[in-house]
Amino acid sequence: MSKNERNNLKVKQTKKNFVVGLSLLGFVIIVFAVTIVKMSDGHLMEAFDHGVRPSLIESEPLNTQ
Amino acid sequence: MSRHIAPPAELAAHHSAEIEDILALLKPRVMSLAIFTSAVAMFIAPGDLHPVIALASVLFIAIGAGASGALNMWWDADIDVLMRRTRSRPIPSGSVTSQDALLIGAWLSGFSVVMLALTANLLAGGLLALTIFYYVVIYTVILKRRTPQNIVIGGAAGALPPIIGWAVTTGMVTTESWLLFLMIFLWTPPHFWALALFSSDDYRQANIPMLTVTHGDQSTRLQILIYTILLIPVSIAIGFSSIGGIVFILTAIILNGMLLFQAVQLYRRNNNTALDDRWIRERKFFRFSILYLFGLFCALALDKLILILLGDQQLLNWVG
Repeated sequence: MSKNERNNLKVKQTKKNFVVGLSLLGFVIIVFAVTIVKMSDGHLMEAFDHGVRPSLIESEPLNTQ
Repeated sequence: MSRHIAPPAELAAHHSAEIEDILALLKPRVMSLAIFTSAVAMFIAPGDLHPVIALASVLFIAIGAGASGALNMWWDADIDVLMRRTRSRPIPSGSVTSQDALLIGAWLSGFSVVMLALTANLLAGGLLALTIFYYVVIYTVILKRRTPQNIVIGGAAGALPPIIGWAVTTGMVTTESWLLFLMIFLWTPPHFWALALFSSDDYRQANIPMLTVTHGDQSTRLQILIYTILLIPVSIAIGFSSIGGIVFILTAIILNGMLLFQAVQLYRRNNNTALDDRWIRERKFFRFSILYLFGLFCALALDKLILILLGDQQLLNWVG
């Protein structure tokens, strides 16, 4: 393999590595963003925490006096 | 099962697939149809969908569509090399090996299905898995080389993306999503048969039983006209469903009129007249059918956008 061919091959490999790296980074960002969105929507969910869950207690009329 | 296609000798020595070759393996044109129709369905479906979830879902649907394209190319490599239209594809040209195509297709299929199920919901993930299975196994492996109805039955795979998009937003499959499915399902045969009319020699050489090969060009022209006529009421019906609106109805009337006009023109021609002008009408019909589907989906999105803007305006008036 001549020097020119070696250089071409190196350029191609660098380009490929760059694209693969960028794809992986993009994937990490997407998973992170989706996780944040899903966690933000999670305020509607209440995990079991051995505590009193307000949503399970029947609402009582407020004493306004 | 070995479906290895030996690459040209000069490429076999130090070759590894380029990024462009991998992208070509994913059939970007087919991918763009899946991206566009599923994204519009997501947008017009009732319900709130976070933009990040929508963007990620479209990406995973696109990867799933690309994966099925790679598996299709892997299976069809032996006939792709025989056809002028497909011999420059990555496997027949030797830029990607059969094994690589199989690996990429299989991995990306699994990846896209799992990620869509996690990002959107299980129904959407399941529908994507069904689409990939249908395209690769039902269409590519079973139907394509056996029956001239390959495009008709296999067309269901290309019609599923709007149902997936709809399921991403709503978590359900409803009448409206079935109407979108039916529209693409009926659009597929005339679209591909128009292509088959001017690529008939290719299909004959590869021994693929396209309608033009098994029943001749006159019968194909008649079938194009019949499916175009069947497509009209379905596309108009969408206009009167909950997702339709004035923009869609007007667009559908105009585009259906133009498509029908061109289908009649095709029907009145034969191979001799087509040969004289180098299949100009057939090529025009093929290109216009793409514009037809694009236009109708754009109209649906526009109607939804108008509805959103009007809704906001009414809300502002109410607050004011």
